[in-house]
Amino acid sequence: MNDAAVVLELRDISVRLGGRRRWLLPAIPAFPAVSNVNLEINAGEILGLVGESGCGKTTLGRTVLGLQRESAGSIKLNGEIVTGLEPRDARRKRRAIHYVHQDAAAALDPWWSVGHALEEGLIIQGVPHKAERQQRMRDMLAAVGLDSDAAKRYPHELSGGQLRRIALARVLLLRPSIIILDEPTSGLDMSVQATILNLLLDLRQRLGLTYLFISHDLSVVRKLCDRVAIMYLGRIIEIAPAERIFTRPLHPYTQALLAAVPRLEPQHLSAPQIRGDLPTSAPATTGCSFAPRCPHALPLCAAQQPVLEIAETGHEIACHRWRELAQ
Amino acid sequence: MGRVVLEVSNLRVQIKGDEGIARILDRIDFRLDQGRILGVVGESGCGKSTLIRTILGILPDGASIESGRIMFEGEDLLAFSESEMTRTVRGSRIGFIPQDPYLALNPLFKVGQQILEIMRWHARPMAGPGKPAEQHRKHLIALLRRVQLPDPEGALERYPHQFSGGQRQRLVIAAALACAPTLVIADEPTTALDVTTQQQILYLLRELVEEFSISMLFVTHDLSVVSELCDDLCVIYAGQSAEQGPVRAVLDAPEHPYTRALLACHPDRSSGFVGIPGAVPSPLRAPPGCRFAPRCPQAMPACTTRIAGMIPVADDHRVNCLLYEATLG
Repeated sequence: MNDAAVVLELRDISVRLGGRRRWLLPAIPAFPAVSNVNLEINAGEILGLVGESGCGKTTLGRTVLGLQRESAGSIKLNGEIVTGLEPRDARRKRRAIHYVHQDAAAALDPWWSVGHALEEGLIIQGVPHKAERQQRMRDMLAAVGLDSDAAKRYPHELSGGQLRRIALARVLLLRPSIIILDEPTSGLDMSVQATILNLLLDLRQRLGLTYLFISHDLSVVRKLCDRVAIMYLGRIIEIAPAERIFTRPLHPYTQALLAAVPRLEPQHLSAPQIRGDLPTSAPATTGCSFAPRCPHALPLCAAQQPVLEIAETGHEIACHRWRELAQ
Repeated sequence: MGRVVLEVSNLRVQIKGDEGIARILDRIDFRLDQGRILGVVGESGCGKSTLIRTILGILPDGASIESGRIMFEGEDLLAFSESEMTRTVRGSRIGFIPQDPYLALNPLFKVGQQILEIMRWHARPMAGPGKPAEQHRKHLIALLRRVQLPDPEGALERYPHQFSGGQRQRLVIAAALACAPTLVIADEPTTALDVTTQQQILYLLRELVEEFSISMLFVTHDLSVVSELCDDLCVIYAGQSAEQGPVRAVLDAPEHPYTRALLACHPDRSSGFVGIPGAVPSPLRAPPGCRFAPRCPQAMPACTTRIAGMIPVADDHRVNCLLYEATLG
């Protein structure tokens, strides 16, 4: 994986959401949803982006896509800088990147047949002949494992698993090279989930795709992803090859997260390692954002923000105490 | 084994809709013993919600119970009238923890007001000095402290939106326990939560079941949560009971072909990604006999005509599958 070409490169990406000035009143400060994220995605790789709700994974995905404007930093797509543009131009520059929504049913118009929804993308992308559009749609439906009959159906007639396939087909018709998958299996039953994940692996192979896989389902991430980045309150706190994250996590948050995953094999329900909920207000700006919940926090942790440092080739960690704790 | 708290036998429920009659539950059988947590597991559309609504007596219009018994502490709930259910069962002897606490709480009222109103209607008279309203308030504050809600006194005066997802779940857990029930039914209470919060809530539920000596029916689709939390497990497929037994017995040595297939899909057990071929039948067009037969690798001709009924294979481990009929002798 080391010699693979970097297709997408994020440098110091920060995104601030909301915030406005008010007349005669104190201004509402903007919320730092994503802070100083550095990330590289190699061609053909599946990078997992893991974190709890509200940690900024979806915002980061939207920023990569160009739907959300970054406040600082730059993004390089195939070596070309695509940042610093208005959302409309940013989107145009990033045609190679597409996004599959978390809720496939909500992403489709209930009044449109599946065929209509699929065709729309092709019309926008300027495929002029109806016959060609029809042919490409039939091929794509077959590729995601559906009959061409599905094109005549409406979203409410389809099951959860079929809707995910339609959502994928709609995006794949546009011939992307990078796909951002936002929780592609949430809400699916275990037996259906497996077929969707197999389809994703199969399509990556056949079409040479690269995935940014946003998820909080750690058992799926372990099986599917090549590398995993763990996010906490807008920052990447640890990134490593998938097997390593799961066998030798270094950050206390990663360790707590993994310990919290329920497992099938016998083990006693362990006492939670971290207390309290994910804070919803803006995180403290000076120190490590996990410090208030961290069982190993020192005064230093609350005062100074740790930066990502290399623990081993490909394994980066942002924690003041990882060396001591690893022993 | 302990005293039986809840025993459902041969339960059949059908719903009349625009497209015909659907038998949503077709022979549900299970038993919950005192002080234990029974996990009821099934995929979406298998009838989990209908089962809960049948036990609580809140079936939607058009639904009717064809046969069966629901014995709760020695009484058949199906023989109770609507007003008896309201006065003596729902909210008082059976507590309910919903899947989505945000939908369960009224956004326009303070949470204290809402839970105290439940207690005013359903709580049994308490011993000790003071007016009932004050006793209830004191009891509720102690309960909120027990479920580790920060600042319990202040919490009573706040509105549902002022709490985080995990805190709201703690609130509805306290509400379910407020009237000292003997049975608590939980409907996927952790599906909407993050894993670290889920772990805290599961741990709390486990402690509360022991501390308050209650029994719990925990309905979910997640086998790993059942493995961590429950004592017993009942697997349901398309409205039919497939298998029931102690959690470790069922998970380590599943007997029903459906349980085996479901476990084989689990990422903790499989090396690749394995699914179950075919799809769950619509209850409108359910096959006769065993509903898993069309997808079952071991199906026999007899499977399409009748179901076996619960056949014991070991102590407290029962399977609804014709493969085991021969062992019955």
